[in-house]
Amino acid sequence: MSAKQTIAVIGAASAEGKAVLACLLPTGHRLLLMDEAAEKLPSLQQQLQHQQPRCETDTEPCCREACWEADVIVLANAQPTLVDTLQKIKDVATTKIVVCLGQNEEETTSEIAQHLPHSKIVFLQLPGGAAKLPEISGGNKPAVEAVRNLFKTANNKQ
Amino acid sequence: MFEALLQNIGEKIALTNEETAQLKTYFTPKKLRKRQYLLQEGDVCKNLAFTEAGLLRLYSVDDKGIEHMLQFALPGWWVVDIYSFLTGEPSRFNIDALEDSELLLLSQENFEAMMAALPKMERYFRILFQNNIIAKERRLESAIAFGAEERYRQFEQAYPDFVQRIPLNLIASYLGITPETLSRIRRKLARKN
Repeated sequence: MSAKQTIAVIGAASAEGKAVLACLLPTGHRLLLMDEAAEKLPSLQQQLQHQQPRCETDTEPCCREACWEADVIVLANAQPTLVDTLQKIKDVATTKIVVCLGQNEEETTSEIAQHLPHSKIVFLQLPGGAAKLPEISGGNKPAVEAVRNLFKTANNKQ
Repeated sequence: MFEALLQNIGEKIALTNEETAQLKTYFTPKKLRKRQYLLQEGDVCKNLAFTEAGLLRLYSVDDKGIEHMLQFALPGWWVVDIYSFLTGEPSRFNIDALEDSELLLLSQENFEAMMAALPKMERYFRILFQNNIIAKERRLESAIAFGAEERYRQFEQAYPDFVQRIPLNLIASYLGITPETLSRIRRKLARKN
């Protein structure tokens, strides 16, 4: 048994955000939704609640606040404003797992590591096409394992 | 974000600016909303938690569903199920937030890494643990040797902020008396003053 974790999804209303939420919804973890387009959050939350009435979801318009509250941070669709986002969350992401979604691992690794030197960076490629399971990689093995377990729970419970 | 912690550490040991910067890298900043759990019975207590803002409580629930308060943590206080934290055994306790709270968490791994990198912190924690043993001893004596009124008077004297901020039914539970008895004692003491 393990306590419910709070997973902040930054860029929740984007296509990538919605795809990762679909994977996380059955895990039973608490989902904290954040998007620059805060006006999209209430309907997104309603939609998730409708799909999985027992899932605990909350919305948070501020990216730093959302990451502060989170145990695990997921950066979805952060590419255009990545540096800006990283600067905002830098001091609240210390020691936390930061999952970067759908991004070119080699290109972004050094950039992210530079801004978040004390976070555990994990890359995630969502299932699509032939791949049935999410691909998870990163330099910190225990963090990669922890993220794999988050998604495994999702698959088992589906 | 680190104000209360640095003040607390500064009262016991002196850190340089570099050491302070390094110290911050071991802590996980975490916000909890009111009523959210930091630890639930049956889970392993993975972190030492320092309260920067808000209010937490550590308590057990008996088989009748009655809660027993063991500790409160206001800003400047640490809270942990030390047995579970050190042994990795599942906890029998719960820790949750009585108010929206801001915490700094220190995992077992980072606790050890921090001590190795900043040996001064060993002294800080030694002083903390000494004080904790004294407080526990006093609480034990109070529980087995004093009557309800004396227990409350000592609590009020030792922790005046707690009496201001914590709901009275929880203080009653902490003292091992009923809320009715506590009200009676408080009325009596108010009349005396």
